[in-house]
Amino acid sequence: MVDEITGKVMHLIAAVKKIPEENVTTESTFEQLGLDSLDAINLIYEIEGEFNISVPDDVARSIKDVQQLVAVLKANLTGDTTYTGT
Amino acid sequence: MANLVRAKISALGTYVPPRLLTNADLEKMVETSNEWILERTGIRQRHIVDKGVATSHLAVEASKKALAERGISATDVEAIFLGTVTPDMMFPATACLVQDKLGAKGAWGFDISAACSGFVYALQTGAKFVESGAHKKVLVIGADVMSSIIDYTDRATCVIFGDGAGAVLIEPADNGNCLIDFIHEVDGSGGCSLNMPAGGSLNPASHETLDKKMHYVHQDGQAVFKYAVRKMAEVSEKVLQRNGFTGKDVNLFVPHQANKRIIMSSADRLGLKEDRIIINIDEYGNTTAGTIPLALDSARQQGRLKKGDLVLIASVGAGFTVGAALLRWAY
Repeated sequence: MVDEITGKVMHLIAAVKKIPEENVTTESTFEQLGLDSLDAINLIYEIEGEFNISVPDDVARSIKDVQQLVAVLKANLTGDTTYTGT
Repeated sequence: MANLVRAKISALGTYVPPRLLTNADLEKMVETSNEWILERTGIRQRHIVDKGVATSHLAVEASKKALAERGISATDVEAIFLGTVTPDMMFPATACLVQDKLGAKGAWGFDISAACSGFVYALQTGAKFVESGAHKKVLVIGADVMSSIIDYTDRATCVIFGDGAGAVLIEPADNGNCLIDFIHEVDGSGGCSLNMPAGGSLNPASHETLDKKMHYVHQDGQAVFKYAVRKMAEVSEKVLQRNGFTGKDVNLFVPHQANKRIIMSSADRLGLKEDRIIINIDEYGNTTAGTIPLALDSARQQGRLKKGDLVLIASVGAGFTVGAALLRWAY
């Protein structure tokens, strides 16, 4: 059972990449999902809009899988700016 | 406001040099592949000038076609506004060189440096001179010879750009088929993400600037991509909304052709299907100030641009510069 934030992230990944939601798991890497760096930028832009946050470019570039993305998002939502995503 | 004069595009001409640089050619020059270029950018080929051919040459050829289409002489042109980041030389303005080569003896003009938004900025400039009543025939040009500032050993940038030009004539409109509205923005903090560092007053040409390849385009591709994806949609929505339209009303979306994925991402956000978007980046690459008129011409050739059509133009370029124009095609 995934939490609400993780579920939303997985939904957005499926929407951005136009793939079935069931293909996205919490363990998926961007490479496994076929997300290249441009898809990742698009995805993070969507997430910034959805959650009203801002992810610094250098942090965004370091995110390579669903878990890292969720961790960065949760850190951002709780105001923990020390998390770099790496 | 009852006597407000509106402006329209009354003619269009474009020109690209005949020489082609294909993805197969680039595979032999840098470590890249046709598949990678197509997947990441949507580009198949670009047109590249031969040595000695400059921006003014392309601009003049495009302008001649526009004037011929309208059936007027160059001496009828009152002003020339030319968007470019690859002027023939630092000064005089390429607009002056075009004025001379074209024989537009009565025209004044200047260059507009707004990179990929150069044509849209020039379009509004031209429109305002017509709407104010100052002029009745203004030539607006977007032209670039990007191959003159590209490092053909840098695979990240050399696959993207091509050379090309387009010109439109702006005249007073006598009905609602006119240039409706513009929205332009600048975010100068993005200047470091896309630029040519040398050749200006900060880093005048020297052995050092040449050795460090500072006379070429330098780009932080991901930063530009992210900004473009956000702004193309944002400014488009804004100009539609403030004129009482939505994406559904748009007959043709004419985005700056920088990258097919930026275009599709923007179109998705506007709710526009592919049949409402003009994409010709596969043929020309990113011709900077040339892309919008070249895209309008492609649409026309495909029979997708008709009198009365609501046309939405959007661009994002180095600066960052952002531009949007809303118009009804007038002929």
